[in-house]
Amino acid sequence: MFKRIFAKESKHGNQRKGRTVAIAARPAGISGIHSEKEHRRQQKLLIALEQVSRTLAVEIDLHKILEDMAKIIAKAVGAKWVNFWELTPDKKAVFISAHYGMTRAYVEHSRRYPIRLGSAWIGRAVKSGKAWGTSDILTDPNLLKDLGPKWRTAIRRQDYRALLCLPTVSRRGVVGGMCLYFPEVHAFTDFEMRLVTVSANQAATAITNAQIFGDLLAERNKTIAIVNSLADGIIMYDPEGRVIFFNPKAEELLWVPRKLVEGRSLADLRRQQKRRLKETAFLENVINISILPVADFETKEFSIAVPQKISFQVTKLPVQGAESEKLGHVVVLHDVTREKESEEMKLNFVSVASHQLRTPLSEIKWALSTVLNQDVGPLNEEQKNILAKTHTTNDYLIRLVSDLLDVSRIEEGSFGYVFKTVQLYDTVREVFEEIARPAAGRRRQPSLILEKPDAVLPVISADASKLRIAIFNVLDNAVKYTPEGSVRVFFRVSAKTASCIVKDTGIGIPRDQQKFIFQKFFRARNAIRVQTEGSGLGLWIANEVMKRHKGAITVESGENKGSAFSLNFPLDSRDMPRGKVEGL
Amino acid sequence: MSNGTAQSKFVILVVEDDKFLLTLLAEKLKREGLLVISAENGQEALVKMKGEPRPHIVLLDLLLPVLDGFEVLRTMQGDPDLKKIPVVVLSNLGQEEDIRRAKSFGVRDYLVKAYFTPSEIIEKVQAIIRTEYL
Repeated sequence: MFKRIFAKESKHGNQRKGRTVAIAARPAGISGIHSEKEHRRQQKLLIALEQVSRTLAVEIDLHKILEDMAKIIAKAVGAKWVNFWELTPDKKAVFISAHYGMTRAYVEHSRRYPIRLGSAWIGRAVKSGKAWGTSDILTDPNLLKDLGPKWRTAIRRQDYRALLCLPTVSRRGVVGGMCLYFPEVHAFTDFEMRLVTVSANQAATAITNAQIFGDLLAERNKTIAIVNSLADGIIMYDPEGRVIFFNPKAEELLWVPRKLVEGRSLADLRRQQKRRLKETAFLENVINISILPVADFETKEFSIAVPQKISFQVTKLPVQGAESEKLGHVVVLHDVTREKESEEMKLNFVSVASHQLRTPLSEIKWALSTVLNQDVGPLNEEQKNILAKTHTTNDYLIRLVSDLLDVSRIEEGSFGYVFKTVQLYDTVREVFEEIARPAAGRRRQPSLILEKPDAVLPVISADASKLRIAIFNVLDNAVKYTPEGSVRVFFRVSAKTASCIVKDTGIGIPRDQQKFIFQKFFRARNAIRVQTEGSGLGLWIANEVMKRHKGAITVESGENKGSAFSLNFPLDSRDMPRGKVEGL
Repeated sequence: MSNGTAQSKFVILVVEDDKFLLTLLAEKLKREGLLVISAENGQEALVKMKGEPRPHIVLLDLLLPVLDGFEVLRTMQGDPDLKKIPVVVLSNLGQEEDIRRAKSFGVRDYLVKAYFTPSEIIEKVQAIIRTEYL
């Protein structure tokens, strides 16, 4: 219901005195005078409202909408001027954003000096959310009382007599205001009020829609900017498989300009490609990516060969709308050429580095061996000793190179494991036989015993080649640090573990140093005394290998009491290492 | 494959691009009573293999100029005459991939030069001669 609060009648009881109007704008039932004249007038107003609505539906430019509305309303109600007010960014004041009939100067003035909410007529209307106005500014007693004597002159100078200010209210709340200025005294009818209120709110809706649209555009532009600057290629397809988006990186990676593919279906692209023009030379790259069988959320390797080899990881992602409807899918292209190259280079580096280091070491070994064998002349005892020692040192260097390369591969992660069922005994035996073979230059050697287990050992899951390295290192240590006595290799099986034990009667490990033996480059003090050469890496490598096998390496030892190293492997299939672990 | 003529020595083809290593090994082989022919790259090796005298055993390095050892092995495998000749790889490439790859061509043995002395290599050669030709 309209709530009309009339001010007190003027002191003189003259009905023609201005009436203050303060109205809460809510729609209501129709009331009012139904004279013929009034009826025609109402019709005119309704037509104007319809025009306003149509304007909203057709125009996108907000400013134009508001200007059109201002004009329509002005003409419909007989106003001299109509203007729309907009909130300043801090929302504390309003200024004129669109108008009909006003002077430029006035409009500019409002922009430079926006009216604070709560002050002046429009400021009060916007702040209170209620319509505010008067049917005659010259005679409205409340107005003069309200504003004070200072305003008397200002009011007299105005070019209008009646004024109505309304807030414009949308679903976002009060977004501004609207004012109508009448040249003559004007008594506002119910109908007029309602109509004008509806128009004002339609304007508010237009303003809000424009703001929302503006926000959306800004977001969209932000998204586009982000996607365009991505370091990965992005291709978006609609549900029919047409390319609807192709970012600059995709252009770069596939060597195809976006204008050739955006909006095109696969059939289109194929047709283009068949024409074999210079510009369409690399369309096959886009065609091949488009037909690559990839499941949603899956990543696959893909490469193009023309005009140059580029390798990608291709990931397919579905795209859904707000209502979970399928909008198509996106393909992300991640260039891995550099990574692949460096991966290949890394492996090659290790291969080539080992070769480069071993070549001069082999020359030394063979040369020394030749001389030591007295193939090029006899040697005296002293010469033999010196050369034998040199040969041993050289062998140590060769071993060190091998260990360093293993360490480097383990640390880089390029030590790939392939786990299969392995017969532990067979693997150990191979290593044992290699170590047991008489070595040139090794004077003192303990007796080596390999005890075959009574029953066949349960199979373990292992990478035999890596396992051999671990066993070799442990066994080699045992032999190295057991100048005389024995090294015994035997096996034990428990419910959960299969173990290979290497027990020697050698120099042992001092108790206080035992916790360090698996560290890189660590060599126990008594080990250094006995044999100055030793890389200190063998046990670290063995330990890393055993860890990867989900097993462990343990030691029991005492200084001069020998050592027993146990390599333990899990037997429970749940604990076993599985499958293929690719080297990085 | 002695044919009863004057040739009583077994012929070993040594394919090695490092001249020093080649000399050391060749001299040792000769001292053991073997006839040595040599090649410094893979291409030369294939030529020598088809020439006279025919080698009984090939000692093959892998990293070779012009044509590498793997290519030599591939060619030998595809040639009915050559694929019968036993090969021992002598290389300082020690990664499993290399060993596996060479062994896939059916080589008799893979020895890392840095781990074996010439004497030890010759022992292996003698063992193959015994199994293959005697």
